[in-house]
Amino acid sequence: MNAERHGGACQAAPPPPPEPLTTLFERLSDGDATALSAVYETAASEIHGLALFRTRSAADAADVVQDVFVKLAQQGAKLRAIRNPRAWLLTVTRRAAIDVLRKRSKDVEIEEAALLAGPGSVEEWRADAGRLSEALHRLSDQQREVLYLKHFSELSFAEIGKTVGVPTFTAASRYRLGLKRLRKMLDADDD
Amino acid sequence: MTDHERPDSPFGKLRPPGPPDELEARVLAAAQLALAQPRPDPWERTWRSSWFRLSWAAVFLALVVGHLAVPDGPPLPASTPTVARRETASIPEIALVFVPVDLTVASVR
Repeated sequence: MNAERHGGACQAAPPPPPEPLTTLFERLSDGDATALSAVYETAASEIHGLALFRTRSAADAADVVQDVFVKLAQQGAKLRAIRNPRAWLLTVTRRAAIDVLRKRSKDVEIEEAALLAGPGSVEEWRADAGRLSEALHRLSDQQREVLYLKHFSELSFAEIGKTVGVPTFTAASRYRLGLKRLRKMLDADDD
Repeated sequence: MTDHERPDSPFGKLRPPGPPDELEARVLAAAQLALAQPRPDPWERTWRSSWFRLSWAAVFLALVVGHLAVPDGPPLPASTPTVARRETASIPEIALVFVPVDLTVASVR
């Protein structure tokens, strides 16, 4: 509005920085439903990514995201006591994904989702994403989730250990073994 | 530079695909419904808890099984009265001796 008044000389103000999750959790604990959509904007991508890496199915990942948000809404005043909301969300996501996997029938073949996507619609990215997704599907669930938490959530091994519920050493070991297997599979594909 | 963009990272600029657009409405509707529902108090939650019911049933069953399965102990020895009790029980009856009383006028005088 000011830009119009000044003859368009001023540039539009940059969008305000997103509210921190801690504030959003406080708003939610007060029963403010509008905070839900702000949490979704901030965290849905990461929750969905982890769910996708854990379940390997787009439909299951969507169910996990829904479960996490329902659980979040049910916490009420307890949300105020959560010191690290991001870690809490990742932990709840992981548990919800494990629940979904338990419920999934072993006889039913899942439709394996693409676990990675390129930044644009470049064909080269698509080929790489497909090759890597295929290799990721062949890793164990634990190795895949640790790779996600390290590479995409950028957590330390200590934080990964807390999220996954294993010692730091085990988290680091899973990561290294997973990365090693992944490279081996990719090298074998190249040959 | 983040982890997944490091030259040694196998992922390069690849990232997991974001959630589908239609998911947001579905998730927020479910979450708002959950937010609007009143939360039961702790006692009610405990009473409704399947774990609580299961543990209650398990304890009850254990008591019934214990009652039926545990054999009776050896019979108690027959009570033998002590000497004192025996003596107390066998006190001889007091022999009542009636003294004749002369109720004539002469005796009064």
